[in-house]
Amino acid sequence: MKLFQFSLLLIAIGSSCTSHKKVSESANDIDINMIMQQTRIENQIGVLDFIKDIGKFAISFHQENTIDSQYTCIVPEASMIPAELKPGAKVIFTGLLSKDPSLPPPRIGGEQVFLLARLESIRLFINN
Amino acid sequence: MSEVAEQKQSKKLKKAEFIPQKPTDVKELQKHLELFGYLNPNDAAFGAEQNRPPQPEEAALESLKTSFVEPGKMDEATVTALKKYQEFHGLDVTGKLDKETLAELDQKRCGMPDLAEFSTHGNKWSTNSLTYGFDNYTTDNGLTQSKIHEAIAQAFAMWAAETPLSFRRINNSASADIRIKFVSGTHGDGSAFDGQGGVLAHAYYPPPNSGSLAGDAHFDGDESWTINIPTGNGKVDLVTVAAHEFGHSLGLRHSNVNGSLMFPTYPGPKRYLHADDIAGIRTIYGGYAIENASWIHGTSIQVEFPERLDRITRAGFYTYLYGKANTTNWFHFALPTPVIKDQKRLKVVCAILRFRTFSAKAVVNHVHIYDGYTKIAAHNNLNLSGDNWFKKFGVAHKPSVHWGMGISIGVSFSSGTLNERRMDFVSAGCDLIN
Repeated sequence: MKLFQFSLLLIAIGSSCTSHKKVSESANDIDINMIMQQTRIENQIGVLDFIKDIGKFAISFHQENTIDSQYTCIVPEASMIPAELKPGAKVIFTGLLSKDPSLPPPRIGGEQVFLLARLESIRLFINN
Repeated sequence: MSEVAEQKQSKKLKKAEFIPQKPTDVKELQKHLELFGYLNPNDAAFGAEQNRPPQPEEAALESLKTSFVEPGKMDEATVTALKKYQEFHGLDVTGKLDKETLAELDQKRCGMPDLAEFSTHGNKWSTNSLTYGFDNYTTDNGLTQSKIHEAIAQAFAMWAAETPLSFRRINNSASADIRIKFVSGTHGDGSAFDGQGGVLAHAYYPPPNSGSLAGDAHFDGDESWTINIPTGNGKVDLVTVAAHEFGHSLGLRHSNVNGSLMFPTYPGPKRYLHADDIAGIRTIYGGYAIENASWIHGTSIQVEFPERLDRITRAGFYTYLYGKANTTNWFHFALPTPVIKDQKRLKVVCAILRFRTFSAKAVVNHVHIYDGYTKIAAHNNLNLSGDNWFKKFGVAHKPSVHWGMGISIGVSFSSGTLNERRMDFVSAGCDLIN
């Protein structure tokens, strides 16, 4: 249910974005995304990867029904990720997302970048 | 009510009941309808009334008038577009700029003061001659390398037809501006794919961005890619997604306009640009400078299988025909094409067709473009019906023209009444550059 609620929140944010000309995917812009200064997500399914350019882990997840809209959550410290989780692993995680001026700008079309300010839980997602 | 309030109310009413009379006001309305995709801006290219070609069979051509846009005039095309706008927005379909319609338009204008709904990233390529290459291919649903080459060229051709950009495939993908690959899960760029469904593909914005990844397009190898229409359950149209991704590769973000190619949602197969996509890409790269535009009337059409037609009639400068039910046919135009100008060989940007079908029982599926006997572009599975009064079909690599242009059009006629199987070819042309 919480996962569903968060999906709704993201859809709402996405919808807001799509009705506002000045919305930008740049993490540094002051725009509607700043409303989401800090947002807690629960039991979100995503994919873990490692961005070599910045030397950070990232967990990304997709906005439903889109071609390529995705949220990239930068993990500030590698130690936050359990050693058994490797890049490419599908994970389920709970934590706090926030905007941060130090975040890299989006690299790919449809990407929005957030900082995973707090990671409360993360484990391998097994789809039964 | 105070005097000031009354004045304000009066002013508001006056504005609300405003019916555009001045050409500048109508032009403003036409600009809105263009940007929201209700009016094809290219229709205006057919010229003002005094410049129109003669219409020898006035009665037969009467309905064609809706294709003409008179800038600054509340003509049939503008009224038709306004009716579509009203229908889409749940307003009374009056074809007039009444109070409710004006309010709806004003609301749009407030949200987007510059009227544009596309969004650009800010980066752009510093050259107009881009190259692309394949790191690998998919074999999903019988796809072969040559079929993928044709599909990807079709996707690039959509953007080439509206800009100075050209896209040439090279064998050594490592040195290509735009590298294309089919990959699953993590693939070394820090943005792992998530299996079937979810993210279908992604593409990097132009340089300077992410080093050598700039412009590259990655397709999720766990999807089931196809170029067939209908795609079938769970399969994804490669041409549509590729064209969307290349929009990102060129510097476009997602658009707010539902119906545009850069709208975030996968719409199913959609193999042509929306006016908003065109406005967006031209904001970044501008248009192209036409050196020559060659046109020929619809009466010059050649029919591949005349026996598959119920009737064909040449009327003035156009041809109308009725295909037999459950048949396919090919129609050909040979364009008188200048190949050299000022001692330079001309290059082809696109072929252009002006046609209509009277229902979805007559559908243009394929448009192939030739230079002499060499096929230089193939637009397949287009599914075009209805009014197509200025439809461009690009050639991705914009090659030099050697022998003259030919256009072949593949049409399917399914079962329906005679009139539902009617199709009009009005003219065909091409844009050439130096």
